[in-house]
Amino acid sequence: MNKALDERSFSQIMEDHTDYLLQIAFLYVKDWPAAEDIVQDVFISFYQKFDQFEERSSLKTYLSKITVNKCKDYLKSWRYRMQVLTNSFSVNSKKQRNRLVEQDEKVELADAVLQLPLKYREVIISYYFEELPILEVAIQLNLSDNTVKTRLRKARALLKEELKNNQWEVLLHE
Amino acid sequence: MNEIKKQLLSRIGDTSDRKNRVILNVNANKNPKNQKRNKSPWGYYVTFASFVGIFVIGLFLLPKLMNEQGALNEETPSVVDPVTEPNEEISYYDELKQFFPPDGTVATFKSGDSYTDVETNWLSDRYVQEIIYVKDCVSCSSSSSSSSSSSSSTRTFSNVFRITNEEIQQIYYGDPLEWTIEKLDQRPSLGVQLIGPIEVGTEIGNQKIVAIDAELSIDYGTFSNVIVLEGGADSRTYYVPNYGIVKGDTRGIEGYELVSISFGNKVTENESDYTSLLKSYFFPPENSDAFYIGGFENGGEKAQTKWINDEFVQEITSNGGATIERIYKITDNQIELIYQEMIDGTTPSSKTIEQLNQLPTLEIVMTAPFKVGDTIGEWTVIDTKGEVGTMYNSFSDVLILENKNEDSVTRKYYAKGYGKVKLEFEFYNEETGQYEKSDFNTELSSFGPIMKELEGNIVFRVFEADQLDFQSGDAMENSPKKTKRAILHGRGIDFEGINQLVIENLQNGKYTIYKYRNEAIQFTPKEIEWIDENRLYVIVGYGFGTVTMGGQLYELNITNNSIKPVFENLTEKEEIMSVESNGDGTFTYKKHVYEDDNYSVGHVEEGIITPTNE
Repeated sequence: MNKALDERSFSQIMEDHTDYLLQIAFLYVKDWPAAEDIVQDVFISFYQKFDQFEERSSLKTYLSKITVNKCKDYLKSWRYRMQVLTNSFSVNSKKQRNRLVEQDEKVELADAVLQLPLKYREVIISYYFEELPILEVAIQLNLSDNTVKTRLRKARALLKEELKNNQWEVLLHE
Repeated sequence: MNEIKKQLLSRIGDTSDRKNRVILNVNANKNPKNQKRNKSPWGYYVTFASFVGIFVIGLFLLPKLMNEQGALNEETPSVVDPVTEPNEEISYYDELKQFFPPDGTVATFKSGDSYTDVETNWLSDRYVQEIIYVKDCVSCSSSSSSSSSSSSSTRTFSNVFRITNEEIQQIYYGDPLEWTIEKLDQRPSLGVQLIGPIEVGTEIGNQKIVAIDAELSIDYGTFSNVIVLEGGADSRTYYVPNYGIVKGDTRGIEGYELVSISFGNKVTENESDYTSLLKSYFFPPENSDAFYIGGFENGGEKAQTKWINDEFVQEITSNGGATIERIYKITDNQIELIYQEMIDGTTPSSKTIEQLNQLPTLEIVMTAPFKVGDTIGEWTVIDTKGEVGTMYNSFSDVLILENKNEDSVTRKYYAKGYGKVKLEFEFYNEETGQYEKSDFNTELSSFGPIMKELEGNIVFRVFEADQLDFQSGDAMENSPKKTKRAILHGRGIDFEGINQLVIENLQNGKYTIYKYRNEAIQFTPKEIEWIDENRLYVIVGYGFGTVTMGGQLYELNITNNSIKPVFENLTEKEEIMSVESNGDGTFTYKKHVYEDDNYSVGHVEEGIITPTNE
């Protein structure tokens, strides 16, 4: 067992952060089994490499960053491509069935976010979902802050285009 | 919360099952020797187990429910159907009376270029008179104060309404008259204004309630609990509880809407005694300590009030690191701030009365008399009869001051005999265009005479409470004989932040709250282990930005609130991570020791301690 991290605190860390990391992973990979595997991986490597954790950032930031990186690795992987091919049909039919239910819940904005290309989706996730300030988004995604701003602007424009019929106030701000 | 986040969260849904699965898989796979990448069967066990659980619950619950249902069915014939029975108990009076503002209120409406003042007088519990002043000139101000002016361009008439248990009837229209209850009782109804219950679908003549919690924005402000009445000719009337009608629209006719309102509830009948009124709202009568929970990073706040004499009050507040001394002067009809300094690390000022008398006024805090709508500096009185709940107690007749600007809204709540009991801070969210609650709110959690500082090596300050607002993430542990329970409260689920150590006496339900005294360095109790019924080990360490579990280990005696460090000579590189009972009166602790100056390489040492005998 690792020296610097006792079992109890490790359990507590998992207890506290798993939900949040699962949410982020799902927004990236859009597939629950994959999201679960990724978060599982994040904790295992955190457990094994705990002594490399630098205390400069908060634990939440640190774990989110590992999760985001693992998600991106996964999206580049062969496994993901196979998954997309095999899942695309079932996803569509499910969508049809849920449409009535979802109309009430008003998640069209969320759906549009999930349809965005990764480089735009990720800034939206960091900025709106994780609610990070621009500078922290930049650090998390290894981008310059100006790139983050440009991509946010572009992402909002794409969302507005997608949601022409419905003006979401959150998209009006530049 | 911004709309994107809200929608994404609802899209994601509940993740608790997935979370359990992840945790089980991690625990099964985290050690390298049995590390298997693919899914362990644990997840399925969990799913299976919860399925069995639901099944079993169903098995037990269903027959019970069915039995009860059966019992009900059997009883039914002997009970007379309550719906068909005329029920004289139902009264909508309480609902209906809200559609008039309080006695003495003057509201100003604008219709086209003309303004109309409406003064509401409650003649009794059941009768309300509206006196309407129609001003025909453009330049007439919309000021609500000059309702009694009798300038020649003003026409005056009145409406009188009766509120019965079922409806609001108009019983008079015309020149204002002097009424007696007998005369009022004899008036027939001229027409019905509103009928209970106030719910969508209720019909009032050719009008109908079409919405009850509608939102309406008019020049005066935005209301969110608007009752909308729709009638023929596309007419719409908007009512707001405690305001009355705020807007009316009819096709082809100029509409009208509320532009200002002044509630007439004066605070005091005895207007000569403003000084004691001000004192009662702003300061506790005796020297006292008030503690507030919440605030920035949950740091809480303490306010100590000392009466220098009948005229000067000293207040020392400390929160999240800063301690400020303020001195107020109370004159015949106002409270003035005359001194304000940081006193970090120094002792409070000790000025003579003569010196105090020479200090200039820095700010006028409050002026009496006051009523709703008055402004004092940046603050506006928004209520004088408010009600507010705090962790310490609920208060009524609360004076509420509000400071609203483009970026934020701050509200202060003052209760007679206590001073400030709550502070609310909301900031403007550009994304949603609304003011959103912040985490900076503070509320009174403890109040009493000034406490003597604890003797010895003081780490915590102590106060008592009757209730505790438990949060998810609070950790708790019972004492060995289960007479008390220790709770690490308030840190929340982010695993960062400041905890309060709370001892709940399970026999009388009282709470004793221990807060680390030096808020400036943001230390927090992190771990607890009971020694016996009256003593426990507490690990206190830095609360933010780190996962080090460690800190200094203290032994706390809750009978006399004495606290002492267990290790007198712990270096900065040494932290106690945990302490656990071995069940034989000894305790095993784990100490983390950093080996290098960068605090990156470290090891854990174990040792045994025995508590000193009482």
